Amino acid sequence: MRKAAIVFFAVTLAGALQSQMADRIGVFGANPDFLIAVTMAMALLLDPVMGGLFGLAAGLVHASIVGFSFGGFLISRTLLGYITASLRSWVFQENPFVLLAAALLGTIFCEGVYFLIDPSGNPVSLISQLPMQSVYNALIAMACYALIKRAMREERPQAA
Amino acid sequence: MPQSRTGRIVALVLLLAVGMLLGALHKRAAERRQPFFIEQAIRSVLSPFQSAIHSVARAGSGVTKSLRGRKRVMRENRRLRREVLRLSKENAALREERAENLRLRASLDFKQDYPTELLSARVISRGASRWRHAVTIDRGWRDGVGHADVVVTPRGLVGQVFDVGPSVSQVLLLTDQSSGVGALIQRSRVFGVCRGRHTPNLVMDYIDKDADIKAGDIVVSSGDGGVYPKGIPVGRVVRIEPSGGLLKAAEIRPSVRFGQLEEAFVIVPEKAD
Repeated sequence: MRKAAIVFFAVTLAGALQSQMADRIGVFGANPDFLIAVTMAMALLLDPVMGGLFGLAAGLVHASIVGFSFGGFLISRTLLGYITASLRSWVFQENPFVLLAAALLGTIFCEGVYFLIDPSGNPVSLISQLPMQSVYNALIAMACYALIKRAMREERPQAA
Repeated sequence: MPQSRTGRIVALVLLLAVGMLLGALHKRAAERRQPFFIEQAIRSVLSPFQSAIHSVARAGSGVTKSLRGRKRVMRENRRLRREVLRLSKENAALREERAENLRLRASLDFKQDYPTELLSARVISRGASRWRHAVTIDRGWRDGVGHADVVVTPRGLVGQVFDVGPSVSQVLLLTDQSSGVGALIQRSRVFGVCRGRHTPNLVMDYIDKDADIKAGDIVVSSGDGGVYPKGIPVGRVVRIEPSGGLLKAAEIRPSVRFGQLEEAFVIVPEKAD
Protein backbone atom coordinates (compact mmCIF):
# COMPACT_ATOMS: atom_id res chain seq x y z
CA MET A 1 0.00 0.00 0.00
CA ARG A 2 2.79 2.33 1.01
CA LYS A 3 4.72 1.41 -2.12
CA ALA A 4 1.67 2.03 -4.32
CA ALA A 5 1.13 5.43 -2.71
CA ILE A 6 4.76 6.36 -3.29
CA VAL A 7 4.52 5.25 -6.92
CA PHE A 8 1.32 7.24 -7.45
CA PHE A 9 2.73 10.31 -5.72
CA ALA A 10 6.00 10.09 -7.65
CA VAL A 11 4.41 9.91 -11.07
CA THR A 12 1.83 12.59 -10.27
CA LEU A 13 4.36 14.99 -8.81
CA ALA A 14 6.73 14.38 -11.71
CA GLY A 15 3.88 15.11 -14.12
CA ALA A 16 2.96 18.30 -12.32
CA LEU A 17 6.60 19.40 -12.21
CA GLN A 18 6.99 18.58 -15.88
CA SER A 19 4.02 20.72 -16.82
CA GLN A 20 4.84 23.64 -14.55
CA MET A 21 8.58 23.77 -14.05
CA ALA A 22 10.49 22.03 -16.84
CA ASP A 23 10.48 24.94 -19.25
CA ARG A 24 11.50 27.42 -16.54
CA ILE A 25 14.65 25.73 -15.41
CA GLY A 26 16.49 25.24 -18.68
CA VAL A 27 20.27 25.10 -18.61
CA PHE A 28 22.25 25.77 -21.83
CA GLY A 29 19.06 25.35 -23.84
CA ALA A 30 18.22 21.95 -22.34
CA ASN A 31 15.23 21.35 -20.13
CA PRO A 32 14.88 18.45 -17.73
CA ASP A 33 12.36 15.68 -18.21
CA PHE A 34 11.09 14.90 -14.74
CA LEU A 35 9.04 11.95 -15.92
CA ILE A 36 12.03 10.26 -17.56
CA ALA A 37 14.12 10.93 -14.47
CA VAL A 38 11.50 9.54 -12.11
CA THR A 39 10.92 6.54 -14.37
CA MET A 40 14.62 5.69 -14.29
CA ALA A 41 14.87 6.23 -10.54
CA MET A 42 11.75 4.24 -9.77
CA ALA A 43 12.58 1.44 -12.20
CA LEU A 44 15.90 0.86 -10.47
CA LEU A 45 13.92 -0.04 -7.36
CA LEU A 46 11.31 -2.23 -9.08
CA ASP A 47 11.29 -5.47 -11.01
CA PRO A 48 11.24 -5.20 -14.84
CA VAL A 49 7.51 -5.68 -15.28
CA MET A 50 6.68 -3.15 -12.59
CA GLY A 51 9.31 -0.85 -14.08
CA GLY A 52 7.63 -1.20 -17.46
CA LEU A 53 4.24 -0.53 -15.89
CA PHE A 54 5.58 2.56 -14.17
CA GLY A 55 7.07 3.68 -17.49
CA LEU A 56 3.70 3.18 -19.14
CA ALA A 57 2.04 5.30 -16.46
CA ALA A 58 4.71 7.98 -16.80
CA GLY A 59 4.28 7.97 -20.57
CA LEU A 60 0.55 8.28 -20.16
CA VAL A 61 0.94 11.23 -17.84
CA HIS A 62 3.43 12.90 -20.16
CA ALA A 63 1.27 12.32 -23.22
CA SER A 64 -1.76 13.66 -21.37
CA ILE A 65 0.10 16.81 -20.48
CA VAL A 66 1.30 17.51 -24.00
CA GLY A 67 -1.77 16.08 -25.73
CA PHE A 68 -0.08 14.43 -28.70
CA SER A 69 1.92 11.38 -29.75
CA PHE A 70 0.52 9.02 -27.15
CA GLY A 71 2.09 6.04 -28.85
CA GLY A 72 5.57 7.56 -28.82
CA PHE A 73 5.44 8.52 -25.16
CA LEU A 74 3.86 5.27 -23.99
CA ILE A 75 6.18 2.90 -25.82
CA SER A 76 9.41 4.79 -25.19
CA ARG A 77 8.72 5.22 -21.46
CA THR A 78 7.51 1.63 -21.09
CA LEU A 79 10.71 0.34 -22.67
CA LEU A 80 12.76 2.72 -20.56
CA GLY A 81 11.13 1.49 -17.36
CA TYR A 82 11.45 -2.15 -18.31
CA ILE A 83 15.06 -2.01 -19.46
CA THR A 84 16.19 0.18 -16.57
CA ALA A 85 14.58 -2.21 -14.09
CA SER A 86 16.26 -5.11 -15.89
CA LEU A 87 19.62 -3.46 -15.26
CA ARG A 88 19.22 -4.30 -11.62
CA SER A 89 19.55 -7.99 -12.36
CA TRP A 90 22.11 -7.55 -15.16
CA VAL A 91 24.68 -4.98 -14.30
CA PHE A 92 23.36 -2.55 -11.77
CA GLN A 93 25.22 -2.13 -8.57
CA GLU A 94 24.36 0.55 -6.11
CA ASN A 95 27.23 2.70 -7.11
CA PRO A 96 26.85 6.40 -7.94
CA PHE A 97 28.86 6.08 -11.15
CA VAL A 98 26.89 3.09 -12.43
CA LEU A 99 23.67 4.87 -11.51
CA LEU A 100 24.84 8.03 -13.28
CA ALA A 101 25.86 6.10 -16.41
CA ALA A 102 22.54 4.26 -16.46
CA ALA A 103 20.63 7.49 -16.07
CA LEU A 104 22.66 9.18 -18.82
CA LEU A 105 22.11 6.35 -21.25
CA GLY A 106 18.46 6.04 -20.25
CA THR A 107 17.59 9.49 -21.53
CA ILE A 108 19.40 8.92 -24.81
CA PHE A 109 17.69 5.57 -25.28
CA CYS A 110 14.25 6.91 -24.41
CA GLU A 111 14.46 9.96 -26.66
CA GLY A 112 15.92 7.82 -29.45
CA VAL A 113 13.02 5.38 -29.28
CA TYR A 114 10.56 8.24 -29.18
CA PHE A 115 12.16 9.78 -32.25
CA LEU A 116 11.95 6.48 -34.13
CA ILE A 117 8.23 6.22 -33.37
CA ASP A 118 7.44 9.86 -34.02
CA PRO A 119 10.16 11.38 -36.22
CA SER A 120 8.29 14.66 -36.69
CA GLY A 121 10.61 16.53 -34.32
CA ASN A 122 13.75 18.39 -35.33
CA PRO A 123 16.65 15.89 -35.14
CA VAL A 124 19.30 18.65 -35.00
CA SER A 125 17.62 20.20 -31.99
CA LEU A 126 17.24 16.78 -30.37
CA ILE A 127 20.89 15.85 -30.92
CA SER A 128 22.22 19.23 -29.77
CA GLN A 129 20.18 19.25 -26.58
CA LEU A 130 20.36 15.56 -25.75
CA PRO A 131 23.76 15.53 -23.99
CA MET A 132 22.86 18.35 -21.62
CA GLN A 133 19.39 16.98 -21.07
CA SER A 134 20.86 13.57 -20.28
CA VAL A 135 23.13 15.06 -17.64
CA TYR A 136 20.26 17.10 -16.23
CA ASN A 137 17.97 14.07 -16.08
CA ALA A 138 20.70 11.91 -14.64
CA LEU A 139 21.27 14.31 -11.77
CA ILE A 140 17.54 14.52 -11.07
CA ALA A 141 17.25 10.75 -11.35
CA MET A 142 20.01 10.25 -8.79
CA ALA A 143 18.32 12.61 -6.36
CA CYS A 144 14.96 10.94 -6.96
CA TYR A 145 16.50 7.51 -6.51
CA ALA A 146 17.86 8.48 -3.10
CA LEU A 147 14.56 10.04 -2.04
CA ILE A 148 12.35 7.19 -3.29
CA LYS A 149 14.63 4.55 -1.82
CA ARG A 150 14.49 6.28 1.52
CA ALA A 151 10.73 6.61 1.29
CA MET A 152 10.29 2.96 0.36
CA ARG A 153 12.49 1.66 3.14
CA GLU A 154 10.23 -0.32 5.42
CA GLU A 155 10.56 0.26 9.11
CA ARG A 156 12.33 -2.57 10.86
CA PRO A 157 10.55 -4.16 13.82
CA GLN A 158 12.11 -3.03 17.05
CA ALA A 159 14.09 -5.60 19.00
CA ALA A 160 12.36 -6.95 22.07
CA MET B 1 4.68 -10.60 -11.05
CA PRO B 2 6.16 -13.05 -13.55
CA GLN B 3 9.65 -14.07 -12.51
CA SER B 4 10.61 -16.15 -15.53
CA ARG B 5 12.30 -14.57 -18.50
CA THR B 6 9.48 -15.62 -20.82
CA GLY B 7 6.89 -14.30 -18.43
CA ARG B 8 8.65 -10.95 -18.24
CA ILE B 9 8.90 -10.71 -22.02
CA VAL B 10 5.21 -11.56 -22.38
CA ALA B 11 4.42 -8.89 -19.81
CA LEU B 12 6.54 -6.37 -21.72
CA VAL B 13 4.82 -7.23 -24.97
CA LEU B 14 1.46 -6.79 -23.26
CA LEU B 15 2.51 -3.41 -21.87
CA LEU B 16 3.68 -2.31 -25.29
CA ALA B 17 0.45 -3.55 -26.79
CA VAL B 18 -1.50 -1.54 -24.23
CA GLY B 19 0.64 1.45 -25.13
CA MET B 20 -0.02 1.05 -28.81
CA LEU B 21 -3.71 0.51 -28.18
CA LEU B 22 -3.95 3.66 -26.09
CA GLY B 23 -2.00 5.52 -28.75
CA ALA B 24 -4.39 4.35 -31.41
CA LEU B 25 -7.41 5.25 -29.30
CA HIS B 26 -6.04 8.70 -28.70
CA LYS B 27 -5.40 9.20 -32.39
CA ARG B 28 -8.90 8.08 -33.23
CA ALA B 29 -10.38 10.40 -30.62
CA ALA B 30 -8.28 13.27 -31.94
CA GLU B 31 -9.39 12.62 -35.51
CA ARG B 32 -13.01 12.64 -34.38
CA ARG B 33 -12.34 15.77 -32.32
CA GLN B 34 -13.54 13.96 -29.23
CA PRO B 35 -11.95 14.12 -25.78
CA PHE B 36 -9.84 11.15 -24.85
CA PHE B 37 -11.19 9.93 -21.52
CA ILE B 38 -7.87 8.74 -20.09
CA GLU B 39 -6.25 12.04 -20.95
CA GLN B 40 -9.10 13.92 -19.25
CA ALA B 41 -8.87 11.74 -16.16
CA ILE B 42 -5.14 12.16 -15.81
CA ARG B 43 -5.42 15.90 -16.28
CA SER B 44 -8.04 16.03 -13.55
CA VAL B 45 -5.77 14.14 -11.17
CA LEU B 46 -2.80 16.32 -12.04
CA SER B 47 -4.69 19.58 -11.80
CA PRO B 48 -4.43 20.19 -8.01
CA PHE B 49 -0.72 19.26 -8.04
CA GLN B 50 -0.15 21.59 -10.95
CA SER B 51 -1.94 24.42 -9.15
CA ALA B 52 0.13 23.86 -6.02
CA ILE B 53 3.39 23.80 -7.95
CA HIS B 54 2.32 26.81 -9.99
CA SER B 55 1.73 28.76 -6.77
CA VAL B 56 5.07 27.72 -5.35
CA ALA B 57 6.83 28.53 -8.62
CA ARG B 58 5.17 31.93 -8.79
CA ALA B 59 6.19 32.71 -5.23
CA GLY B 60 9.70 31.49 -5.99
CA SER B 61 9.78 33.57 -9.15
CA GLY B 62 8.74 36.63 -7.13
CA VAL B 63 11.52 36.01 -4.64
CA THR B 64 14.02 35.41 -7.45
CA LYS B 65 12.90 38.57 -9.22
CA SER B 66 13.23 40.57 -6.05
CA LEU B 67 16.68 39.06 -5.39
CA ARG B 68 17.72 39.80 -8.96
CA GLY B 69 16.40 43.34 -8.55
CA ARG B 70 18.37 43.73 -5.35
CA LYS B 71 21.47 42.33 -7.00
CA ARG B 72 21.00 44.72 -9.91
CA VAL B 73 20.60 47.66 -7.55
CA MET B 74 23.69 46.61 -5.58
CA ARG B 75 25.66 46.19 -8.80
CA GLU B 76 24.51 49.61 -9.97
CA ASN B 77 25.41 51.03 -6.57
CA ARG B 78 28.92 49.60 -6.78
CA ARG B 79 29.31 50.92 -10.30
CA LEU B 80 28.14 54.39 -9.24
CA ARG B 81 30.46 54.40 -6.24
CA ARG B 82 33.37 53.58 -8.53
CA GLU B 83 32.21 56.32 -10.89
CA VAL B 84 31.96 58.86 -8.04
CA LEU B 85 35.45 57.91 -6.88
CA ARG B 86 36.82 58.24 -10.39
CA LEU B 87 35.11 61.60 -10.92
CA SER B 88 36.27 62.85 -7.53
CA LYS B 89 39.84 61.99 -8.44
CA GLU B 90 39.43 63.61 -11.82
CA ASN B 91 37.88 66.69 -10.22
CA ALA B 92 40.72 66.95 -7.72
CA ALA B 93 43.26 66.62 -10.53
CA LEU B 94 41.51 69.33 -12.54
CA ARG B 95 41.38 71.67 -9.53
CA GLU B 96 45.05 71.02 -8.99
CA GLU B 97 45.84 71.79 -12.60
CA ARG B 98 43.74 74.96 -12.48
CA ALA B 99 45.52 76.15 -9.34
CA GLU B 100 48.87 75.36 -10.87
CA ASN B 101 47.88 77.18 -14.01
CA LEU B 102 46.99 80.30 -12.02
CA ARG B 103 50.23 80.14 -10.08
CA LEU B 104 52.31 79.67 -13.19
CA ARG B 105 50.50 82.50 -14.94
CA ALA B 106 51.27 84.83 -12.02
CA SER B 107 54.86 83.62 -12.03
CA LEU B 108 55.18 84.29 -15.73
CA ASP B 109 53.88 87.84 -15.32
CA PHE B 110 56.29 88.35 -12.42
CA LYS B 111 59.20 86.98 -14.41
CA GLN B 112 58.45 89.26 -17.34
CA ASP B 113 58.20 92.30 -15.07
CA TYR B 114 61.38 91.52 -13.15
CA PRO B 115 64.48 93.35 -14.35
CA THR B 116 67.07 90.64 -13.64
CA GLU B 117 67.27 87.09 -14.87
CA LEU B 118 65.10 84.67 -12.98
CA LEU B 119 65.43 80.92 -12.99
CA SER B 120 62.20 79.13 -12.31
CA ALA B 121 62.36 76.27 -9.84
CA ARG B 122 59.99 73.79 -8.36
CA VAL B 123 59.95 72.96 -4.67
CA ILE B 124 60.52 69.23 -4.44
CA SER B 125 60.93 68.81 -0.72
CA ARG B 126 60.23 70.77 2.41
CA GLY B 127 60.69 70.42 6.10
CA ALA B 128 63.27 67.68 5.83
CA SER B 129 64.81 68.86 9.09
CA ARG B 130 63.05 70.13 12.14
CA TRP B 131 66.15 72.14 12.98
CA ARG B 132 66.20 74.21 9.88
CA HIS B 133 63.46 75.98 7.95
CA ALA B 134 64.46 75.08 4.44
CA VAL B 135 63.12 73.73 1.19
CA THR B 136 64.72 71.86 -1.68
CA ILE B 137 64.36 73.13 -5.23
CA ASP B 138 64.95 71.22 -8.44
CA ARG B 139 67.73 73.48 -9.67
CA GLY B 140 71.43 73.20 -9.01
CA TRP B 141 74.77 74.46 -10.20
CA ARG B 142 74.24 72.86 -13.59
CA ASP B 143 71.37 75.29 -14.04
CA GLY B 144 73.44 78.23 -12.91
CA VAL B 145 72.38 78.37 -9.28
CA GLY B 146 75.08 79.52 -6.93
CA HIS B 147 75.62 79.71 -3.20
CA ALA B 148 73.73 82.60 -1.52
CA ASP B 149 71.52 83.22 -4.54
CA VAL B 150 68.24 84.86 -3.58
CA VAL B 151 64.98 83.01 -4.07
CA VAL B 152 61.72 84.85 -4.59
CA THR B 153 58.14 84.33 -5.68
CA PRO B 154 55.66 86.78 -7.14
CA ARG B 155 54.42 87.34 -3.58
CA GLY B 156 57.80 88.21 -2.17
CA LEU B 157 61.07 87.09 -0.69
CA VAL B 158 61.58 83.40 0.08
CA GLY B 159 65.14 83.12 1.25
CA GLN B 160 68.64 82.29 0.16
CA VAL B 161 70.38 79.27 -1.32
CA PHE B 162 72.73 77.76 1.23
CA ASP B 163 73.62 74.43 -0.33
CA VAL B 164 74.00 73.77 -4.06
CA GLY B 165 74.09 70.38 -5.69
CA PRO B 166 74.35 69.52 -9.38
CA SER B 167 70.61 69.48 -9.90
CA VAL B 168 69.04 70.47 -6.58
CA SER B 169 69.60 73.19 -4.06
CA GLN B 170 68.65 73.89 -0.47
CA VAL B 171 67.01 77.23 0.22
CA LEU B 172 67.07 78.68 3.71
CA LEU B 173 63.72 80.30 4.36
CA LEU B 174 63.29 83.71 5.93
CA THR B 175 61.62 82.07 8.88
CA ASP B 176 64.79 80.21 9.81
CA GLN B 177 66.50 81.56 12.88
CA SER B 178 69.74 82.15 10.98
CA SER B 179 68.05 84.19 8.24
CA GLY B 180 68.21 87.96 8.24
CA VAL B 181 67.39 90.61 5.70
CA GLY B 182 67.74 94.35 5.75
CA ALA B 183 64.23 95.76 5.45
CA LEU B 184 62.30 98.98 5.43
CA ILE B 185 58.74 100.05 5.96
CA GLN B 186 57.49 100.93 2.53
CA ARG B 187 55.24 103.79 3.70
CA SER B 188 57.53 105.57 6.16
CA ARG B 189 60.96 104.30 4.91
CA VAL B 190 61.92 103.17 8.42
CA PHE B 191 64.84 100.74 8.42
CA GLY B 192 65.28 97.60 10.37
CA VAL B 193 66.35 93.96 10.09
CA CYS B 194 63.89 91.09 9.55
CA ARG B 195 64.88 87.82 11.14
CA GLY B 196 63.38 84.42 11.46
CA ARG B 197 62.71 82.87 14.80
CA HIS B 198 61.43 79.43 13.88
CA THR B 199 57.86 80.59 14.02
CA PRO B 200 55.55 81.34 11.10
CA ASN B 201 56.09 85.07 11.59
CA LEU B 202 59.28 87.14 11.40
CA VAL B 203 60.56 89.80 13.68
CA MET B 204 61.76 93.17 12.47
CA ASP B 205 64.08 94.73 15.01
CA TYR B 206 66.59 97.50 15.30
CA ILE B 207 63.74 99.93 14.69
CA ASP B 208 64.13 103.33 16.20
CA LYS B 209 61.89 103.77 19.22
CA ASP B 210 60.14 106.80 17.72
CA ALA B 211 59.91 105.45 14.16
CA ASP B 212 56.62 105.74 12.31
CA ILE B 213 55.45 102.19 12.06
CA LYS B 214 52.05 100.63 12.51
CA ALA B 215 50.23 97.42 11.97
CA GLY B 216 49.45 96.77 8.32
CA ASP B 217 52.55 98.51 6.99
CA ILE B 218 54.25 96.71 4.13
CA VAL B 219 57.84 95.70 4.67
CA VAL B 220 60.23 95.37 1.72
CA SER B 221 63.88 94.48 1.42
CA SER B 222 66.16 97.48 1.80
CA GLY B 223 69.00 96.19 -0.38
CA ASP B 224 71.49 96.87 2.42
CA GLY B 225 74.34 94.40 2.57
CA GLY B 226 74.17 93.65 -1.13
CA VAL B 227 72.67 90.21 -0.71
CA TYR B 228 68.97 90.81 -1.26
CA PRO B 229 67.86 93.18 -4.00
CA LYS B 230 65.99 96.26 -2.85
CA GLY B 231 62.19 96.48 -2.92
CA ILE B 232 61.20 92.85 -2.72
CA PRO B 233 58.14 92.39 -0.47
CA VAL B 234 59.03 90.72 2.82
CA GLY B 235 55.78 90.93 4.71
CA ARG B 236 53.33 93.06 6.57
CA VAL B 237 53.50 94.44 10.12
CA VAL B 238 51.18 92.52 12.42
CA ARG B 239 51.94 94.25 15.68
CA ILE B 240 54.53 96.38 17.38
CA GLU B 241 56.41 94.67 20.17
CA PRO B 242 57.03 96.89 23.20
CA SER B 243 60.61 97.55 24.06
CA GLY B 244 62.17 99.27 27.03
CA GLY B 245 65.29 100.65 25.32
CA LEU B 246 65.99 102.93 22.42
CA LEU B 247 64.81 100.46 19.86
CA LYS B 248 61.62 98.58 19.23
CA ALA B 249 60.62 95.56 17.22
CA ALA B 250 57.65 94.53 15.10
CA GLU B 251 56.13 91.19 14.29
CA ILE B 252 55.94 90.65 10.56
CA ARG B 253 53.72 88.21 8.70
CA PRO B 254 55.71 87.04 5.65
CA SER B 255 54.31 87.80 2.20
CA VAL B 256 55.19 84.32 1.06
CA ARG B 257 53.12 81.45 2.39
CA PHE B 258 55.96 79.10 3.08
CA GLY B 259 53.68 76.22 3.87
CA GLN B 260 52.18 76.40 0.39
CA LEU B 261 55.32 77.10 -1.55
CA GLU B 262 55.45 75.08 -4.76
CA GLU B 263 57.26 77.18 -7.30
CA ALA B 264 59.88 79.86 -6.86
CA PHE B 265 62.49 81.81 -8.83
CA VAL B 266 66.20 81.98 -8.22
CA ILE B 267 67.66 85.36 -8.98
CA VAL B 268 70.67 84.49 -11.07
CA PRO B 269 73.37 87.16 -10.69
CA GLU B 270 74.52 88.76 -13.91
CA LYS B 271 77.88 87.34 -14.93
CA ALA B 272 80.77 89.77 -15.06
CA ASP B 273 82.17 90.11 -18.59
